[in-house]
Amino acid sequence: MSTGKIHHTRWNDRALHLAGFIAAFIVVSGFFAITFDLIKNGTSGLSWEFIIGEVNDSGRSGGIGPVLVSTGMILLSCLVFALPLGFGTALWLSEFSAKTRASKFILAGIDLLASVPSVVFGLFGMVFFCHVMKLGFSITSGGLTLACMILPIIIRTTLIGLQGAPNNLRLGAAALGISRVSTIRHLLMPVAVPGVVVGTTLGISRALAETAALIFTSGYATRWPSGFSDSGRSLSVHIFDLAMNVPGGAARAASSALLLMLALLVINFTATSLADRWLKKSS
Amino acid sequence: MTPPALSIENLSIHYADHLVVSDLSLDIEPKKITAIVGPSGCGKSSLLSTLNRLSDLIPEARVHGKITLNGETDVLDPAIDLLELRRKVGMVFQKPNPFPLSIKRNIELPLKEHGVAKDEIPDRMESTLRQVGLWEEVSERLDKAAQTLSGGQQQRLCIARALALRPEVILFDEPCSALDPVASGKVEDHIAELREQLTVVIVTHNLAQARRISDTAAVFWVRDRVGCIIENGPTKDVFESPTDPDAAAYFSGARG
Repeated sequence: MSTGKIHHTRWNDRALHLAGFIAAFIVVSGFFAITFDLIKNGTSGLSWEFIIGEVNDSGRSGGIGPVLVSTGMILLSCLVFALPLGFGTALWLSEFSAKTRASKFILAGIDLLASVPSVVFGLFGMVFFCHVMKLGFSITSGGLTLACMILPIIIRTTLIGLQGAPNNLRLGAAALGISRVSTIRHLLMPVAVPGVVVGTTLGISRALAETAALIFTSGYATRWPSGFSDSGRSLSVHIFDLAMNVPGGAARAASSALLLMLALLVINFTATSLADRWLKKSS
Repeated sequence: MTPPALSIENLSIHYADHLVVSDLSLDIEPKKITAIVGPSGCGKSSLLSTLNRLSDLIPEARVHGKITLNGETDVLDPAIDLLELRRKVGMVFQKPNPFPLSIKRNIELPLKEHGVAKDEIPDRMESTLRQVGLWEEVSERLDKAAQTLSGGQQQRLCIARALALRPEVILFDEPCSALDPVASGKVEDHIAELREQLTVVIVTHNLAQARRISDTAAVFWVRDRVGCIIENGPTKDVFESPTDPDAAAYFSGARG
């Protein structure tokens, strides 16, 4: 054919197009396979009694009420520490530290922290929060350990959000005699909020999915937690236990996992719509 | 005799180890338009950013010498209230930089920041927008995003935003160079109208513009790789009978 070369390029384009489609198809079908499997095996076990009931016979009967409460309390104690510390650190690094040696050192430490396996955080949490700080095997210990784990995610994403704000915004505000606090509040936050939301939801997802860091710190008691200093089992730990240590627990593990996914969806949706509302209000 | 609006004495500016401007002295007359002209890279904008201490935001910049506002305020005093200094000495940049907020909020935010009473804000907004010829164009859509305005309108909004703070001095850093000729002409007209009202310092590459609107002019040049002033005085004298050969060559288009 006289237009051989052109034809050849077109063939290349098509092959790449097809390869990309196949890759995307595999990824999406994996997601659907997991969801379908959870719905098939988990839906029948879902009921109001399952959601609020006590854990009986290692989880073979009864429900997961105390586990859900413990999970919520662990997440709450995690975010209470991680969010202000994370935002504060990112603000300092982006707006106040001016690329000093100290800020470079801290940033390197944060990136290092992000690559530490969660089981190491668990061991650290057990030694430091449970024993040294004498918090015991408690929901607070678990939450603090998770806070250490998700801090790098929150700091990095907030930092990317803040650094995405153009510098002439800061110069323009300074030239009008607008204080740093107002510049951050009225001009930089609206630009940074989408990043903060992504970081927070990623952090929450990682915290909810965590088992290794929690077994050593908040423990696996299945009773209703009496407070933040009590031990409590998180949903992921419960799923792990049902699937690995409890013969006949597989169906209940699927129901619990389905609930976990639903919870993540709800959190994701709430965070995004809260941020949208805040952005609309501030502009 | 009234003191100069800004008196600059023996000013040097370093960026890290590089000396940008050396031993520079200049008096800026009150309620006049002073143009600063010269080729790129001779420290015109660097000088401008020391007058409102925006140079503080450049980590490696160091400034030595003395700058006095109205014969009384020591601008380079580290303990000075920077927010108040920058209210008194406003600045408009080369690229229009309205905040990503509504037109109204762009003017309201700095006014609130400087404690202007709430019921006074609408009047100030209208009078400054009228002053830059923007009121007729935007009064119906003050709640629209400032980014929806054209480049020239954005720049006039930035001028209004600075004027609303009732500054004593306003610094323009090549305010027209990012605009098309028509928009540039409008902005120039409004700058020219500021004469008699407040002190204007304008850095420009446009010699014809400097000649049209300024009362006094200073020509910057690079000698031994350091920025300095080679010609300075009433605009007419500077442009028509320059004493420095480099300045004369620059005006005739032969150099710079």
